[in-house]
Amino acid sequence: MNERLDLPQGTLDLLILKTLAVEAMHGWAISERIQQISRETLQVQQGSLYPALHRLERRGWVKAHWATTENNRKAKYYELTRLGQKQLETEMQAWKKLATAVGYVLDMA
Amino acid sequence: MLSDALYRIRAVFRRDAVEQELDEELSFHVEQQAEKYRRSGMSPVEVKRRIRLEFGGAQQIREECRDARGTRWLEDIGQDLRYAARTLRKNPLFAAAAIVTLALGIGAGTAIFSVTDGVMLKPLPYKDADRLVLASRDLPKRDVQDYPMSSLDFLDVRYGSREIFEDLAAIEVTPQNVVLPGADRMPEQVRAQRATANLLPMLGASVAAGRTFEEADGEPAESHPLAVMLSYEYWQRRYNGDRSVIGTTIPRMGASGAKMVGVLAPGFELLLPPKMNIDRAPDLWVAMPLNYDTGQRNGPSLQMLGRLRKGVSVDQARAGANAVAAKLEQQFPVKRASGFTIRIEPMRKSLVAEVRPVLLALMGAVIFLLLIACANVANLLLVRTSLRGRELAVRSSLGGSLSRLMRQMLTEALLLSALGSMLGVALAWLGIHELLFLAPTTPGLATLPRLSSVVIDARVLVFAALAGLASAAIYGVVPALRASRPKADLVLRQSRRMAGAHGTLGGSRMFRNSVVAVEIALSFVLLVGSGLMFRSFLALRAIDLGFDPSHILTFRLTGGQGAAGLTDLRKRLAALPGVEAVTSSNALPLAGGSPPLRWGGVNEDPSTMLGAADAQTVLPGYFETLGTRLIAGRTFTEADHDQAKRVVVIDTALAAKAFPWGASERSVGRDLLLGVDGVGVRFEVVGVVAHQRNASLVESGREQIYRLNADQVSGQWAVRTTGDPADIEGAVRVQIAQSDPRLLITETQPMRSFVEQAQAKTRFSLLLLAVFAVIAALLAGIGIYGVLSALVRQQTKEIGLRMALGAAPASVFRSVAGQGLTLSAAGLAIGLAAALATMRGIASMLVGVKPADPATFASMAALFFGISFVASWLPARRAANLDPAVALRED
Repeated sequence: MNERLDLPQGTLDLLILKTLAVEAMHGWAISERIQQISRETLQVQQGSLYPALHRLERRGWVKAHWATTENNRKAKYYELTRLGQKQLETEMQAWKKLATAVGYVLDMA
Repeated sequence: MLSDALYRIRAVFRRDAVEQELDEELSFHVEQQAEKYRRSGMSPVEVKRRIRLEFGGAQQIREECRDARGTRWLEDIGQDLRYAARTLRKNPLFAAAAIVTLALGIGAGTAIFSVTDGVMLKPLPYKDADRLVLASRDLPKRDVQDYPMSSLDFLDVRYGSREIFEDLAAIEVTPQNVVLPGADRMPEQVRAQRATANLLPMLGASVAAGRTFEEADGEPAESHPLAVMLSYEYWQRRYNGDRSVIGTTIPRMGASGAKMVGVLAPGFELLLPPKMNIDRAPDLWVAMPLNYDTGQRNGPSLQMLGRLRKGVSVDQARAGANAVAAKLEQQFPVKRASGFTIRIEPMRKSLVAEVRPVLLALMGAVIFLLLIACANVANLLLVRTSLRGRELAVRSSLGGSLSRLMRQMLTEALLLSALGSMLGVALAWLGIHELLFLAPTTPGLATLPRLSSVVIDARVLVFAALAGLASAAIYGVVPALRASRPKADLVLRQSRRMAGAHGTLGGSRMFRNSVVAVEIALSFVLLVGSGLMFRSFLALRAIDLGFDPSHILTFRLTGGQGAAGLTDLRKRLAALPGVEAVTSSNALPLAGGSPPLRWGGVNEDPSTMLGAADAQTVLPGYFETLGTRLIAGRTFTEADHDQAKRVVVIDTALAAKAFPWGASERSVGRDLLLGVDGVGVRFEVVGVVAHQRNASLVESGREQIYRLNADQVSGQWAVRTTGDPADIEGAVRVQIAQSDPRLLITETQPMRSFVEQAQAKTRFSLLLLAVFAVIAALLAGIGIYGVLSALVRQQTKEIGLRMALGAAPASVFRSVAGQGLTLSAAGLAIGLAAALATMRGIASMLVGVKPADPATFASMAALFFGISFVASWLPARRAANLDPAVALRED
């Protein structure tokens, strides 16, 4: 079994925004992509993914539209807005700062 | 932020579309996942299992997505409301019982609050009303309160305390009614009130036409007309609202006529405590001409009103005014002998002082009533929660969040409250009309001041809404808490009827029982309160008035004078068939009070005589007409008019005070000194009669002195009849008109109605308290019934088992009824303690009965046991009549 990690609060939003920065995707694809890129370490449950997507949509960081998939199914695609782009940059910087700081402390101790 | 708002708006208004999209989105996800598993080579069965494991909580995801949308609370409220309305519609009996119960509680509360608000809480309708005060003179050494001021004393206080009062005004305590030609040229009695010219401007009375009084209107000047202001109502009635009369003169008023300077705004009233007996809305306001040249040092006639300067406290004002009073006391021996202090009270406070206890008691009563109503509804809800146990348990195990379930219950409670409040306001609206109709009034002088400002306005509606909210909080929270933590597994495993019995839901039996016990306690307090008021009312009816009010017609005559006219009138009235006796007096008992007269022993200095007695000036036959008992000596005869020696009749109270060393018989033939026009005059006591209740039924009042009237036709008349006094009214009017057509006859009424008016305040409080107590007892009875019915329903199986094992129906009956009676006993015990503690609050309203009257407490407790027996009887009989075979098969 893979060792799976629970995501810290707020991190899921960042991951979703980052994933969507490449291209517009539907929900299932987002969860697959995160799982894939994290080498199966991070698994996003449906129960946290959709509430998060709705929350991001409400804040205007992503917008959604219905489109047809390559298999000719209708799916709801999410894409990053300009506001979301800015938010992503701020959050990435904050995250990197935090990670470095935590790293320092862990190394020193 | 805009996107946020737009998003939320869409989420609320296109709710169904949003929900459907979510469903599609989620099922798309599930299908994709399934597809992925299939492609990885899982068997269809395995795929199904995995999917179910991963996506079992679809409902929960939906709920969380709704949360994420941030509009959930709004949607939920709508949904809860719809759901609550549906459940109420499904249980119309429960809904009706709860709503009517609440409406009774809230309606009674709202009605009484509207009265309390109108009478006690709203500011007075005057300029800077919070600085207005009444300044009353007390005579501490004579134990007399509210003794009027003489005009010179008033001027001394006014000019001596300018640093305290921005303005100090005075009004005459006796009306100066005049007879003037009316709109139809017929003589009409016009109610006139004299006050210093600064009174109306000080109150900020607004003017409908002309001008208000000026300082110059109060300057006395020879052959100068008086200045008068008209009430708007009199202006309309007499002059049809004609503006051209302003500035003209009423010829037959005062020595040089009276000039009409202006008209007051409609509805202007001078609000003074009812006991002062000052007309609050006279037809004419007369500016009293007053200065140091025309004023009098003796002759108490004025009540003072003032406005304090900004920043001056009532205590400072009292100190300042009493400094002036102390100087006057030093100056005049008579004031030193009686004592002279000035009491200053905020106008609003003194205005409601008489009705405050009644209103507070009623407010307390309706709060109790509302609490009882809440307890009843709480119990209804608890019973229903227990019956809905399965529904709630199912919903919670299907993923309905606990807080959501709790909110659902609270929404139901709020919906009930909203409906109850609306119906309650409607009840209050009806109730206020009845209330104002019942409220004690005497002609021209309502006993409850400011009744006209009692209306259902925004403040009252806010009160009703708050009462509804508070009730919902009281009766909704406990069932909601209970519902929010169902032990779902337990409930689901149990049969429906067992669920409540074991207290998993809907409150333990213990809890529900204590709610009913509290209810019983509260309604017992109300029953005791109304019982005590009833005893007071009986005591008032049983009070020895000193005279016999039945078969007496009374009326007031105005305008005539002269011994000849008086004799003629007396002869004519006495000759009427059905008339036994005729008399007149300046004031009849219970009809407004008599002026005080100073008296003393023959050796006393007339200027320092201490005694004050009610003085009546009567015609011979007074005691025979009123049925006053003669104790010693004789009553007046016609011959007394001609005797050189002046004679008086006194009452037993004065006899005991003036001649303390002997019985009433020994007083006859002795002399008394009476203060007549400022000098001491000797009178011989020829008779002693029973003490009459002159001012009030509650207090016995001052001692009484009767003198003879020689030539005054004006005054109150009394005619003793053999039959119904109303029957001879027509004949009396004819005789009066024939004797002197200029005489004006007013206030025709039987003597009985004065007595009824004196009982009115107690009757009013009694009636309201009794109505509340009956409602409360009814609600408590329903409460007992409800709890026992639920009990029987829950224990059907157990009872059936007991009966199958040989328990007799009678023993089942006893056990159920016994629980009901135990419950009432517990409630009564609490109620007893509560009643003992609270009844002291209404002590001032009670007459002839102690707040802790054992008879009242015992009889109310017995009454309550009767009620609880009836309430227990029905469920107990149902239990006893159960067929064990059927009962055991019950689910």
